[in-house]
Amino acid sequence: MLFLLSLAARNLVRNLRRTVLTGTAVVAGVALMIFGWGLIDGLDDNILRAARLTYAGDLVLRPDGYPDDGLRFPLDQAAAVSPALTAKLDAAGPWTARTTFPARLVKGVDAQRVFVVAYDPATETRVFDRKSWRLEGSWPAADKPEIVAGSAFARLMELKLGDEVVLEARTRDGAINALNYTVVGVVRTDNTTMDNLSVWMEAPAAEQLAVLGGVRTQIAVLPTATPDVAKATLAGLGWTPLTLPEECDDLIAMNRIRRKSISVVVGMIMLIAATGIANTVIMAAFERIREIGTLLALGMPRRDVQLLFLLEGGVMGLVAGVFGAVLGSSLVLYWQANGMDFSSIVEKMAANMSMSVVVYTHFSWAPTLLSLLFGVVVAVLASVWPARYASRIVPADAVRAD
Amino acid sequence: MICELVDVTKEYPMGELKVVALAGVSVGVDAGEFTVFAGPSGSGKSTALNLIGCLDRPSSGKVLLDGKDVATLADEALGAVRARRIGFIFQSFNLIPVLTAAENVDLALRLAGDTENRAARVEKALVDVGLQDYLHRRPSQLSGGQQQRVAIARALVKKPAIIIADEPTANLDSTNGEAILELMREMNERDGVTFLFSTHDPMVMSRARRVVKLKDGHVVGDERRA
Repeated sequence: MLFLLSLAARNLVRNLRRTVLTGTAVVAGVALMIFGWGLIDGLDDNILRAARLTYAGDLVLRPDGYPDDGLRFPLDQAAAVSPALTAKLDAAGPWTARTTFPARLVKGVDAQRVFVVAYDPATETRVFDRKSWRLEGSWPAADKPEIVAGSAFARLMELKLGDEVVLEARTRDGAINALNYTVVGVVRTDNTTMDNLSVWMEAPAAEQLAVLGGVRTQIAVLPTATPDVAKATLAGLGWTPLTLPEECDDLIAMNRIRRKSISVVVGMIMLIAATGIANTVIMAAFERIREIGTLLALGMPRRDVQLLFLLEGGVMGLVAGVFGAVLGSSLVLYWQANGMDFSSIVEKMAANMSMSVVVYTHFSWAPTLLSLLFGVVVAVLASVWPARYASRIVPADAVRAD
Repeated sequence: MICELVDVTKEYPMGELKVVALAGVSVGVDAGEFTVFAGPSGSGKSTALNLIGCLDRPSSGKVLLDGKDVATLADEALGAVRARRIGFIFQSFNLIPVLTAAENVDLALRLAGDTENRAARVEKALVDVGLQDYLHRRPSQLSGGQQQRVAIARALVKKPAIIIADEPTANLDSTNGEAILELMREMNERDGVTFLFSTHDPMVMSRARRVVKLKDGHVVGDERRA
């Protein structure tokens, strides 16, 4: 077996240029597979990270029946946090409640729909440490009509620090209210939805604008126990708890579609690679008919001749696969450390997606080894027919072939 | 008798027709012979060599090797017979280009399953053919004559019952051809190695001690010389 392996390796080096050209498709396929999966895994992480750091914590609660299909945030379905729930939340770990509601921001003659994120200044930073956020200016001062604008929204409306704006919103009773506010900060959270569509104010200020009556639309918790355990203890109190993966299931489902798309592309590349490998191995068999005849004449069993050609395909697949794995893994590891900045694309095109504009790819061994194995298997399978052809050569004719 | 064709017929299909390459040929080779199958192209000499070399099977008749009919053996068993009992020297040398001279010779032992003292035997075989300085050269680094010497060493190293040489000098110039033939003749006389050639080269025929003439698939002459 070792001798056949050595012979296969030497045969591949005989026509190095052809071998390299054929192997390139395997390199590309394996590298793309690893990078694509690393990117999708990174996007999954990214979605969860953006949600955790900006609005959900590790467990998010919404009033029972509150819509989760899009950006509606109806105030009439918001609910107060009951004393019973408060007690359970206190026991579960750090938590904070927010009220998000639609409004219209008017600056001069310009107006734009926006969502107000009203937060409790006493508890907000216990859940969201804001360390990864970039704030220009300051957060609103207590009891002052001040707001912080999301960075992309501020750019869209050309908001500057100190600008005076009007926020129009419907109160919980349906009346329209409008108040003046000063823009004191511009924040970039890297959650695209929030940066594109939100303004931030303290809950007391929001109370004046929308007459909330103390209702909240979401509670974010950092449970000391696991999110699943905390979810079980917080259920049945008028609010529906969701873990992060449950909260982000629609976005993660979209990533599954992307993963399948990448798999299709990889499949096509590997099909091209398989065709190339089959062609290379069959060419090798045609070119080496006399040599195969000689091996058979010298007594090499036909199964060993077949194995020799399968090994040639397999070794090519393995070497190209290793190169592909190194290339793909290097890209994944580089962007895992440095992140891929999609800000210019995402802020323009994905305004309704809660994801970070900096995507960190995710390296793991399983997809890397799986991709490498896939490359080898494709190469070996592509060699089956040429190997069978080679092993069926008639030695009496083959030893005299030109 | 080492090998013998007994009333052997070999037919090849060609479209709807059958070409008869050998028609009821009976001929045997004894140990230590230096025999030539001679005849023009299409006479059947290569077919006869293929059958004795277990590279092909007859359409009818028997191919006896050491008294056993090998024509009925399965493919793998026939391969094993070739590996252990028959040495081949081909017109185009047929060395494996990615292996060195020593590795080519070693290949014959490896395929014969003969593991005893391989390296020393390989070296001796190459020394015997005068290639002691070329052990680690690849075929592309050797002349035609040197390549054929490697092929002879490859055939000899496993001490086969018979060495079958299909026009071994056809691709060599006359000087190298004569030298190769002289080498084989020397091994035949010194070590008693049995050689069976096919050729239509008068020079090769002149060195043979027995010339079996074939024409149109029939033996038309069998001349023994002192």
